[in-house]
Amino acid sequence: MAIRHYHHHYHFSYLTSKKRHFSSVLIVIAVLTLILLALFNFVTPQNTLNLKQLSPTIILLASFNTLFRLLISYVFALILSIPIALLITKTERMERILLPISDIVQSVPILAFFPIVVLVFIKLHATEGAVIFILFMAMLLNLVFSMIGGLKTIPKDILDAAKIFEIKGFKKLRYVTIPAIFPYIITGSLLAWAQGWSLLIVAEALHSYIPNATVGNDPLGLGSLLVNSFYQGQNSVFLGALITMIILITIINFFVWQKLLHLAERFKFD
Amino acid sequence: MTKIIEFKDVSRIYKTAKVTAIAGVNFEVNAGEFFGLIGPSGCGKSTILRLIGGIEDSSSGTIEKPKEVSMVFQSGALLPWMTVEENVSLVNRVKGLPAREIEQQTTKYLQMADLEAFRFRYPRELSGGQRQRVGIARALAVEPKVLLLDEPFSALDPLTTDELHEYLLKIWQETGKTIVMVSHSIEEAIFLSDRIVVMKQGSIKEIVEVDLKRPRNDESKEFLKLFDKVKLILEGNQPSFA
Repeated sequence: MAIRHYHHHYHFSYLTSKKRHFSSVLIVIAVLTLILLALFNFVTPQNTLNLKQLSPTIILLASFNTLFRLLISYVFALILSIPIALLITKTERMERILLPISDIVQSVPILAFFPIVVLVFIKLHATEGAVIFILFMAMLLNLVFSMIGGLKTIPKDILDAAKIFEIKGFKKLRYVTIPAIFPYIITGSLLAWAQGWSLLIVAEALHSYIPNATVGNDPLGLGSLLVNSFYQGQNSVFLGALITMIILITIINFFVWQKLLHLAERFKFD
Repeated sequence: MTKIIEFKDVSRIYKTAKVTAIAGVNFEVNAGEFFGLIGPSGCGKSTILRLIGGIEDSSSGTIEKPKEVSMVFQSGALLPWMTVEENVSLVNRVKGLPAREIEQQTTKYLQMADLEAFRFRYPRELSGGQRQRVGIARALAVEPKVLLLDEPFSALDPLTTDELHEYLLKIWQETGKTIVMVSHSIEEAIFLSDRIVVMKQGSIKEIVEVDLKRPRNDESKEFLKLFDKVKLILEGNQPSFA
């Protein structure tokens, strides 16, 4: 009995109630639907060429696609940023070599690479890849630099304690390093998503980077909808897309980032 | 008495900073002894602790020490995202001990530290003294042969420090562990230690025997005599006119 009681307290208690379990099931279903719809669209893509009037289906599909692109880019960026940040800060020597390189990469505007990226992906017949790649690159840099900042502020005593208690390798990453930089991962993620949203308008309207292309070549999304409806004078579509984007950003900020920022407080060193 | 730690002509040089932290250090620590290290900042006392703990390696000389060593840090070095219980049990969980054993060890040392009531609290909800007791409980929960303390009470108020001195002595007497403690307070070192290594500029000036019965009275004549002796060694045998 004592043991059960003991283990019960090892998990965050707020995840254990039935209500929470139910809502997490709903969230999982919603995310899966989003992914399926977006995937379906990527198999038989719709374009934004003929926007005669505001259609809720188009706006909804565009929202799914955009969220899916951002999510995919973010997941890839998050997974890759951890080993990159760890590698850069691993030894002083490594930092001396790698940090200036990543500083230069960071100071070059990511969109400057976009025309080349688009051409490469067009050759591979994957326009979707071009959008995701550019969002991924922008998000990656935000995450890596936030994480480097976090890794460099872990108190020396904590690292010494990990060493003396022989907490190393993956276990150190799980129990010490990742939680220690958790607040920095969250702020980096927030910046990454903000960057993602602002790049979307350019990234999705990629016809301007393809020789002899029209808006028909653009992948459907909130960004391409905004740009193309504006140029076609479809004000209702433009307004609809804009309001949807603002609502989505607000919802994500309220239900995801605010909650995570609050949780991150627990992970901060005094 | 059996020796548990031995330093033979040990030096530690930081090559990049071109600093010699300690040079030609020799001493032995007996099993079950309360061993104090004292000296001004930068004299190398913490380096000795870090060498025993395996946090650093020596540049030359040989160090004999057991593998089972743990440490209490000046800052406490607790993980703020874990409860008191999770902090104390962390190392045993990482080692993969059976749940029952982890539970027993954790409860045993939480009780010893009088922290049962704070089991599910987070470090930020505790006072400085309580945090330091969690640090001691965490260090003991791995059943070390040697317990290292790096100025564990220097950030605490005098009342809490007195309380923790008593607590530490109780633990030492109950568990029979060997304790090596770095301190910058002469009173603290005399109050707690069996022997004190007095260090200056990276080398040992003298090893002082504290032949006083416990509980010690820091106002007794013998205590004050020892205090003057250590102070004189630290000041380089020059009488103080301060």
